[in-house]
Amino acid sequence: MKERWIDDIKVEMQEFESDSPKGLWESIEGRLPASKVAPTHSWWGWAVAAGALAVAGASAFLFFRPISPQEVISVEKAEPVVALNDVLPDPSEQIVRLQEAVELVAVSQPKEAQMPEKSAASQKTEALRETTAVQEAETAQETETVPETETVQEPESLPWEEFSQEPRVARKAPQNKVSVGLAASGAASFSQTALIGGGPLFGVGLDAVSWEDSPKLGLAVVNQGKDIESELRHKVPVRLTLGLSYAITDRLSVVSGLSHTLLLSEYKEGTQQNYKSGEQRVEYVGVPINLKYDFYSSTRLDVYASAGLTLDKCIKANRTDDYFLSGENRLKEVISLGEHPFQLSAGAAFGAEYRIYDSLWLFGECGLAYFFNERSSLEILYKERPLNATFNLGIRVAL
Amino acid sequence: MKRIAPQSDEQHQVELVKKGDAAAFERLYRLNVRYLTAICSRYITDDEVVKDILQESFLKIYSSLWKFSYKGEGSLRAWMSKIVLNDTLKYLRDSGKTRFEELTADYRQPSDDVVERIPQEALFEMIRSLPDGYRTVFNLFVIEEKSYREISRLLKIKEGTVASQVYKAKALLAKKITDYERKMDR
Repeated sequence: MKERWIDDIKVEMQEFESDSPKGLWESIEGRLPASKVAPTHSWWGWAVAAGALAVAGASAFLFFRPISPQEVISVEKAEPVVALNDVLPDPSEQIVRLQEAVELVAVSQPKEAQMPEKSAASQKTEALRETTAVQEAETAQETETVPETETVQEPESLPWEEFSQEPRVARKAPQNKVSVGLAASGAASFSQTALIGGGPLFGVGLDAVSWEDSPKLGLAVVNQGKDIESELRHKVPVRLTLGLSYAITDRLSVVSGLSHTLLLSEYKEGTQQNYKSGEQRVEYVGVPINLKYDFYSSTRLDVYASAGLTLDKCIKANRTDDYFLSGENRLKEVISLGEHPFQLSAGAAFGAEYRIYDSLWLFGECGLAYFFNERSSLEILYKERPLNATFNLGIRVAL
Repeated sequence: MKRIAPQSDEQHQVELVKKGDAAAFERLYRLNVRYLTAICSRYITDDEVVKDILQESFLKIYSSLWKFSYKGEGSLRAWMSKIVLNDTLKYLRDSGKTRFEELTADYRQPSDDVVERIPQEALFEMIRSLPDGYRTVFNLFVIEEKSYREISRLLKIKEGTVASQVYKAKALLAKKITDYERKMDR
């Protein structure tokens, strides 16, 4: 069938022309290779590209650098080592060795310097209480014929203040009673435990005859005199953002939105078999406000640099503690850290965004940010290292 | 309609661009941008997307011009058109705009001379107002003179589908033209 109207449309449309989009040449000219366009555009593009490369390089450096080297906060070489495995098989020998340990450690002392958070007096008090409970438990394990009232001397009955001012001299601890030296030896690890919110350290009485019933106490005793290693490792924070961008010019935009940041830290403290480990989890919700400059822009892909401020609010801060004795997990605690500070940061980033649908863009950024001290007691990466690499993923709606 | 005759110095301009003369590239741009805009706009109705595609296409033209070999007047424009058309079709494929709505349309051929009486702009807008998939196959088949097989390869759809959609596209456009003709005759 002859379709003349179709042939006519072809003729009419084949040479048809229409107005070009506004600003098309300007956007093309700005992206022509620098050597072939006016030099007024070239320095800016190169400067942005150089800046982006510098940010990317610095981010990569910070990312691949080990975040927190392992550090030993307590290394004590008290000769008689009292370990669970050593103690349990022979109760009579255990008592003798405990007493020896008490004497020796009491002379060598000073763990207090490693417990800056507490006064020496309170550390001693705590340690003494722990030791009392520890020895009570051991004693109870040794013999069931001794009545409780005869073997246990209540810690409260001791003149604590007076005791704390006594000169540090070796003192023979009576059997089944509080040992000063042992308290001082175990103080470092216990002070850590006490600081992070563990319960009272009187967990073991005569009826509870094994460390399994009070892993906190058990951990302190079995590790006394050993090299206690403490490792704290902060993971790289990842930020997820739901953002909005508003174009001021073809290339410059204001970007804001809502972000969620998760800071994870892991720690381990103790010896290889007997230790406490856990994870700290701090979450923030924040509002970033940034200026974004696209130095490459296409229908689907933009490559850009951005800089600005972010105000974060801590919404959750807690820690999980796991107590391990002989490699076995005996106790798990989740502790709220109780503080929810604001966190202000200033940063610059280099990123790319890909249009997934209409005005919806998926983006990824890496950059550098400086985190101002928020004066809380949270032990987070931002405090240890205020200048950090940042990684941000998200979805952005272009307005 | 505005016709731009191929420039006698087209080849010279191309040589200047190859030597890095940005001003010569701007002259080539000015000569061809309206024509290339019309090609892209026949397929895509979103003006922002048209701008994005043309921007990428011109940059591609600029960076690939060293590969272009001049084969007479009009060869540069044909080469540029091919780049714009490829980028346009790529966008349509990537954004899923080559799908077809389920439509039924009776094909009634308009009168023979009707197209000549309709202003080009009105005709252009009628084509643009076709649904996405139909607009694409119509443009490729009627204006670019692609075969069903070529269209099926370009859009990654079955050849039989192309034929039936071209038929429906023609029916839809014929109805628009007939309606327009009626209004003109009132």
